[in-house]
Amino acid sequence: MAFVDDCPPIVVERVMREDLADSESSELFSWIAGNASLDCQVKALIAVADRLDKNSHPQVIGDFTSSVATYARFLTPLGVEQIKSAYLRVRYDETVAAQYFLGLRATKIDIRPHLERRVEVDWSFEHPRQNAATWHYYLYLASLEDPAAIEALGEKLAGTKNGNDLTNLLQSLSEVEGENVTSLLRAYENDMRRADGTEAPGMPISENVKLWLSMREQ
Amino acid sequence: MARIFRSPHSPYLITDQAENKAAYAPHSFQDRGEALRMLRAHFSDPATLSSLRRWAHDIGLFKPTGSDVFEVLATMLFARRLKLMRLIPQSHYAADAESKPDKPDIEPDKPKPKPKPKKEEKIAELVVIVKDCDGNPVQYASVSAGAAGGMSTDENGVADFGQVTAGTYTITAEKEGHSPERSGDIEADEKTDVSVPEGSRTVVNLIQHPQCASVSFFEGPTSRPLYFGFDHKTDMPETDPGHYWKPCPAHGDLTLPGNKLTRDGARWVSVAVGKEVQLEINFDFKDDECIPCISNSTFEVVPSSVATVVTPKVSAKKAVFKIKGAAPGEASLKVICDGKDIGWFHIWCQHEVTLKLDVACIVTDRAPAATYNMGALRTHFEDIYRQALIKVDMLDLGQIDLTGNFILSAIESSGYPTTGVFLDKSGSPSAYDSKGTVIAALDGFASLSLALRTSAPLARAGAYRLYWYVPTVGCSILGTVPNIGSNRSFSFKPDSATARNSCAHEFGHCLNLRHPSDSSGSSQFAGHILSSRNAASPAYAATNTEPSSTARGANGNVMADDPTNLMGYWRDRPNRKRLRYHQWKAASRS
Repeated sequence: MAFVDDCPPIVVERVMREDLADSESSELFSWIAGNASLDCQVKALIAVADRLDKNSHPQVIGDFTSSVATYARFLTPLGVEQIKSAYLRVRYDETVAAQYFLGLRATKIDIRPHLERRVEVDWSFEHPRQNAATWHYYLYLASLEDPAAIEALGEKLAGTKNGNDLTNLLQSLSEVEGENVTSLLRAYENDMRRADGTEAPGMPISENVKLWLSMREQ
Repeated sequence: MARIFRSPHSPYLITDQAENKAAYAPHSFQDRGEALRMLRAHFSDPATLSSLRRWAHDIGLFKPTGSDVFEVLATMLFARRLKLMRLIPQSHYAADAESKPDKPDIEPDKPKPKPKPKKEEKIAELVVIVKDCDGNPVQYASVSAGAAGGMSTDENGVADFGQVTAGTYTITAEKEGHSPERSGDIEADEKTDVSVPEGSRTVVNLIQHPQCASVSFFEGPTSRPLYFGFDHKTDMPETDPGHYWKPCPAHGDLTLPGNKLTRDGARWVSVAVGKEVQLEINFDFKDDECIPCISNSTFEVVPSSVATVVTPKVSAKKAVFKIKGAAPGEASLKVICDGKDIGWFHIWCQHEVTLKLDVACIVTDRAPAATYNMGALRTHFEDIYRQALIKVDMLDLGQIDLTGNFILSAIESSGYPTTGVFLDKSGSPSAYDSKGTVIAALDGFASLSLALRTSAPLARAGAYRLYWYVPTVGCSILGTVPNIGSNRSFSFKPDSATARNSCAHEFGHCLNLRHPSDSSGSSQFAGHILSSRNAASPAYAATNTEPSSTARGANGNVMADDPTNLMGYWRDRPNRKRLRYHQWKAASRS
């Protein structure tokens, strides 16, 4: 069944008419989630993918790409192709790099040649959610089993002295699948540096890493 | 094709053209109300109004039923999609339409120049030039020359009366808010007994210098949706009064400081790229008050790339003032008059970002289902994070039922006894010591449960998460996060205004914001604010943007200079909402 047949008219109407060049549309998928079945939500994702272009607002692209990751396990191969096509049409904007690469990671869409000329590499960040486009780019490359990316991520971790910064980077890394990533995490299984709690030192890195490793085994 | 409305009964035309040879330059409106008043004053006679309605309908602007054509057109005029232009009298423009400079867009009070002298009269020429004390031409000054009539000066400050009858004239020039002296009374400049002899061209120079308000300063608006963040604490003066506008300085005494963190009372304002914010601009006078002088003020954003001025002119002592964000960066808005700075505020401009936050309730054998008001939670977060140009897109994931999970049950039991309070700080080892283990387990099992969901609502990839976990036995703290910068946060108390504020505080930790007492967070606060930590807080009066706060004793996590900061421990939780300039910058934006 097509999107227009399978979704409530109110959802079809909004998805087809929403101004995707306007930052105010950056909560579109939350609205859809509150007004449609899961099946419709997935179809709406593809319908939005078909409408995205180079004029789409970065915040809208961020909303879309993180939603790609959310619905990844429900996508058909054809749907993934349509999403890949959208990725190739929209502009890469590093302000939404975390969401952008999250969508790519979850779908295993490989657009490395497309990105090579567009992504600026800068390892000066400290936190994975602050000016850390390079981190998310390399997580994406690592998810595609790129050995150079694993090595670069390892170097970034090794160069991070602060226990809290390291905890946040490792927590982010732990969300990427793959044996190479598991090996990187294991290197910190006995690290006694601590995260920063709100009022006192938080959990040691070792305990967090053990927890994340056990979750990977589930 | 140009759209033009003219009526024989009105001295104005309405058009979508930028200029029209038959009319003066478009009238510039300070607000929509002024446009409405002008329309009602000049287009209200029945014949004109009827024609105007037809014209507006024909061009698709107006539906005859249910709306007022003046209201519709006023909106269009204020938005500059239509222009209102005063018609040039035929005798003026017909002869020399191309070379005449623009005439004032306001109706001159003075009579028009009298008709050219008859041939038997003795002919002379008269030109009046009006300048300020620095020699700059003054446009739109009203010049009168006795029997020769009156006219306004052009952009060169010239009122060219052309041929006049030779004789003696009294010549005056006046402009609202101007004086013949640099600092003088508001009055016309006048020259009496000016001889304009036959056969010569007499040039008369007069002075009208703009008089200025002494100082200008800013407050926020009283309505929350009209602004993002308004910070009157970061640059708060060391002593009171110490604001640059208190006591009122003389004109010329002030200069915008090079350092935006100078403690002169200047305000910091956050504005999103492409969005407008409204402020309240105020003027004050050291000596005599001169309301017309206020309109001599101009506004400049330095550097101009960061924001634009939406309100080009102000004419009241207290007025609405708007700017619009243009590009990420920092800038200052200067109020200038007669070449001197008379006031300023500072601007932090960024793209507005949307962060996703999933909200869920963890139900275990020790913590029953809790209800929470998503609408109220959204409103509270919106109010707070708007300051840092962050929108929080919330989704309710509902309950995560972990009852019967014996591993989690064991961890809960080892974390706090059945009779004890969750995260109790007493005892040895204290229940608080096991905080990390318990909340890590709660998050771990909750995440696993959410990952297995095959029906909506699904947990959103990359979203921050807020868990309500409300143990039956109670909890010693309101909420927490696993660590600073984590993407998970917890609320341990039943829903209330206080609990919702605690959620916003914990979300601040997720965005990397720290307590005042956290030595790693010193860059997130102005130095003087941070050093006022652990001092008794004075009572603060209400401002346009913040309610009053009462005096309180010292607290290690409360800053006396900014007691209601979101990241402190102010007791009146529902009013603990403020984020200041350093925190706007420090908060994670993805």
